Order: sequence, then C-alpha cells, then structure tokens
Amino acid sequence: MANETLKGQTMGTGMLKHLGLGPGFFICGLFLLVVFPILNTLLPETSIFHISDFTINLFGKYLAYAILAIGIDLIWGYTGVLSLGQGVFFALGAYSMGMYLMLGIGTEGVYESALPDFMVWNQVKELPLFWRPYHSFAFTVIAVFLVPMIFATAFGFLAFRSRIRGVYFAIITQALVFSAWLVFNRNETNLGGTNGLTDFKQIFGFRLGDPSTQLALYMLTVVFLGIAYLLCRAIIQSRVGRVLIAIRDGEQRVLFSGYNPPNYKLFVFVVAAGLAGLAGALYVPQVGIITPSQIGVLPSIEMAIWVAVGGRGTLAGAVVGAVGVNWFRSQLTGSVPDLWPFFMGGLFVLVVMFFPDGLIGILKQMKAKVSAWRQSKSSTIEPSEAQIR
Amino acid sequence: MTEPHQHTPILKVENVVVDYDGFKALQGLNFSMDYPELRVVIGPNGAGKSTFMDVITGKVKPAEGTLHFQANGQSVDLTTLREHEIATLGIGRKFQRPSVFSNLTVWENLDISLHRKSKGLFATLFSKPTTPEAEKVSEVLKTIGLSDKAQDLAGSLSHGQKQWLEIGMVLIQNPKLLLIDEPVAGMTDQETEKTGELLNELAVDHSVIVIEHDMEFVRSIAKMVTVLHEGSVLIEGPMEEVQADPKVMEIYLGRAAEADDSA
Repeated sequence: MANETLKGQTMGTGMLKHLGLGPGFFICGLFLLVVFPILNTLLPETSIFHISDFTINLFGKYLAYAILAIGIDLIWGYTGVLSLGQGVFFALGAYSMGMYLMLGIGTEGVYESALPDFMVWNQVKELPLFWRPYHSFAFTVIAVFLVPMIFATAFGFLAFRSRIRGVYFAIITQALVFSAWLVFNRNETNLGGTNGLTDFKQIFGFRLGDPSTQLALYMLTVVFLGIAYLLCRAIIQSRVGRVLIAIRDGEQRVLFSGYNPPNYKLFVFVVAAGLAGLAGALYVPQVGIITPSQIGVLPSIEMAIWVAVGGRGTLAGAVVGAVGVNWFRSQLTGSVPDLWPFFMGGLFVLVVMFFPDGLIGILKQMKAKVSAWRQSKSSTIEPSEAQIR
Repeated sequence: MTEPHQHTPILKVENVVVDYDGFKALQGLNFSMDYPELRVVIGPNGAGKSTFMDVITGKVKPAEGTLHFQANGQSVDLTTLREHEIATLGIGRKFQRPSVFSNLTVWENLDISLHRKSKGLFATLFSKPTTPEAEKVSEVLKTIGLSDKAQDLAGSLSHGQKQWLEIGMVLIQNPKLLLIDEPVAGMTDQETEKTGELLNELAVDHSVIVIEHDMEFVRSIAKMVTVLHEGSVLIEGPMEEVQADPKVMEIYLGRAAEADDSA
C-alpha cells in the first residue's frame, strides 16, 4: 500500500516524462489546425459551415493574444506576481517583426523610397543603425524572443532583488508600460510615432494580402500556441512549478526552505516576456499594424483581465479567457463600441466577486457536480485513480 | 537522564545588538547552546524572542555582535549570509503562525522542503524524484503522524496538523538546529501533548530552540530555560530554578499587576 503511493509519486512528477495530455488538447488542436482551415478553404462561401477569411484572421489575432495570456498565467496565476506591464514585451516583439515587415516594403511605399514612408515624411535621410539588422529574417526571429527577454531580465532582476512585491510590483510595471508608451510615441524614436508601423506588403516573399498567407499565419499561430502551452505545462509539472505555487502561497516559508525566490520569479517573468514577444510578432502580420495605442497602460491591464476571466492558475483558462474576451469584444464593438469599457469593467468585477476561478472554475464545478451525481448512481469507484491526482 | 550523545557547542551568539531605528530590540545578547539540546526561550512580550530568531535565520541583520554556527566541522559567521543560505547550512525555522503551502498536497509540501544538494533554479528544473527521497518523505510523514493525509491539500488540514506539517517541513531539510516559534498556540490539549512528545524526540539528535508562552507546556518539556527580558538574557538554568528566581517572578508578576491595574 505504502509502496504503491511511493511509486505514484516517483512516476508522475518527472519533467517531460509521459505528458499525459487530456483529450481536450488534441480535440482543440484538431479543430483549430485541421477542421477550421478545411471549412475555410474547401467549403463554398454560401455554405453555413463556411468560415470566412475574416474570421480566420480574427482568430489568428485571438490566439496570438492567448500565447501572451499563458505567460501572464505563469507569472500571475501560478507565482502570484501580478504584472500589468506585459504590453511592453508584446510591443518589443511586435515592433521587431514590424521593422522587418517595414523594410520588406522596399520601394513599394507611397514615396517609392527604400526608407519607410514615415521616415521620408519625418525627413530622416538615412536608415537608423538599430533598424539595419532587421533586413535579416533570421535576426528578426531571434530578436522577437531575445529583445523582450533581455529587457525583462534587466527589469526583473532589479525589481525582484529589491524585494518589490504585490501591488507595488503591479504599480511599477504600470509605470514601465507608460514610459515605454511615451517612448514609442515620439517621432524621434524612429518607430513611426503615434501612427506606428503599417502598410506592410509581404513577409518572407509571401504577399500579406493573400488569404493563403493569412491562413498560413493563422496555422503557425496555432502551432506556436500549442508549443507555448506544452512548454509552460512542462514547467508547471516540474518541481519548479511546485516551488512557484509555494511562492504564491507563502514566499517566506520558501525562503526559509533554502530556495531563493527572486531567481524563480525572474525565470517565469522572462519566460512570460518571451511569450509576449512571440505573441506580438504573430499579431503584427495578421493585424497589419502596430501602434503605441495597442500596447499602452489600458491594453496591459486588459491582458491581465483576460486571464482573470478565463481562470487563473490553469493554462487552459488563460487561453479561454484571451480568446473569449476578445471574441466578445469583437461582437460588441461591431454594434456598440462605446460601451466596451463598461462591459470589460463589469465582466471583471463580476468574475472577481462571484467566480474567482474564472470560466474554467465554473466548468470544473459543473464537472464535479456531474461526477458526484454519477457516483451516487453507481457506487463503483476506483480508489487508486482517486488517490493519485 | 539521557546523555548518550557527546555534547558539543553548535551556536554561539555574542553581544548582539539589533536596532530598529533607535529601538533596541536586542541589546548585547549573549547565548550559546549545544548539540543536541532542547532549549526553551521564554520572556514577556517585547522581550526580543522573535527578533532573536530573526537574527539567527538572517531575516534581520545585527548592528553589532557576532553569531557563529558550527556546520560541517567549521565555525560559520551567520551575519554575512542570506536567509536561504542559512537554511541550506542547517538551520530550520518554524514560524509562529502555521505557514504551509495550502495549494500543494502534504506530500508535495514535504517534497519541495526536502534537503537537496542544490535548490538553485536549474537544478530544481531538471531534478527527478528518487526513491531515497520518497522514502525520506514517508519517514517524516510517519514522524509527524500525517501518513494517511499525504495526498490531501495542505490547506484542508486542521490547525494542529498544519503546525506538525510545518515542523515536518523544517525537519526534512535535515537541519542541525531547529527554531520553533510557539508550536502549541491554538492547539487542543491532546495535540499539545503530542507536540511535546515530538519535540523531545527531535531533541535526541537535533538542537532545538522553542519559544513558548504556555507555561504549563514549558514545564512539561523543558530541561533548560533561557529567560529574555528587554533584549538580553535575564537568567538561564533548569526550569525549577528559573521559576523560583525573584527577578523572573517580578517581570512576570509585575506585568500581571500592571495588566490588572489597566483592566
């Protein structure tokens, strides 16, 4: 009996050891990666099951957001560190990709100059130095991850070393995102000022206007979301994942157990920043524009709300929240755009007050009720299954 | 009398001063203890008991004085180390209020507290559970009497069980010195008795410092008692001797008289 428990413990906890994914992961993957594209390309537009290019494009955007939300869940949901500054890291990834796409326009711009249009307009004569490496696609791909991660390392190192916690950390990340917003807004930064980067024509030789390019970008986003999910799942299921939860539950106890919490927090903060950068890079070619207004204080707060609505502390919750809230927003802004902030705020208050575990929490409660009902009907329970969670 | 072990000094605290912006929580404290030993530290509120633990575990740095801890055959100066380094060195601490990780199971609580060569990020990320580790966890579970609760969430335990779990978490770090702050606060009589047995068991091959208010409990477990008063040691000795000391009676009774006046 005792031996069995031991075995269960040693078996179930190894990192990347049999992943034990539920059917949900594969069903979602099948729908997003196979069924949706088939419904989009093979069905005639008149069919009620047809999914339009527009919808595919929208979901590409939502799923890019979902990658960022998984990162927020890791740092906030699991570790208990609320960052309201993920917009900064999203921006660093998005602008990195945006710069590559800008340079890809070549002489197709309005002014037929090799320089991006806004530079001609601002009378910049020469491509600024920091733009030049973005001619290379390989460099861009690396920068998409590395720029936000390096920035997060520097910021996180200082903040966590100084033992800045809780609401103070949230406020400091707000200040960070606000100052980044100011910097991106300035014409002198040479990133297009308030208008941002836009009018992209092609990526890696493919025309961005082609539905097939957009479909490919959508599918790429799904694949990256899957990878991000598996990566974060591996972290959560390793012993580090338990240390993260322990930090959330009682940081002092963790410290006196011989761990150095700042290192652990820095690690997840940097992973979350890398995911936000990736999300930004996937967002830009699908939405076709990146401006400071998409990354400021308010969008950064909204990002945290997605996770709260979906359900903190479950990776699926982050995905559900990001896609759900943004889908809802698209529906609503089509009819009553001015009311969105009120809905957003109302939704947040509602969730915090009545469903602290978010949409996933509601699902779990329902599931528990159903299984309790089933158990009461048939009394055959497998004790070993119930014991090892 | 249990004297099978050879007693060697493990902790030596000399002239320690802790200054909180002008308020001296400890003023010239001297203290030493042996391995193994069970020592109970008592004293009225504000005597500096908790600060004493803070300064040993590195949470608070002394303004003056030295703290030397005997680890692996050499004397280490604790004032230069940070909390997690001191913990790794072999000093475990149990807080006054039970602080366990509510959202992890009892097993997981013990598993992450377990003594390991490295508790650095990457070592932890790639560490795999091993059979000796699992055996150690089972062993401690038995010691603290929570074997049948292994797969329960720590948050679902009773107050007393949480206290034991935290003692287990400190114990599994394999410390030579355990600091235990008010272990029986809020416990039932039965739980208190069990805790006393547990502490005496631990004192066989650990040095244990217990801070406690409950005098009956102190009487039941203590051999040696140190009385703190206003940031330094007032008297040290066997419980009967300490209890009969006029100075001790004065600080306790004097306080009681004041409390009566104000009531």
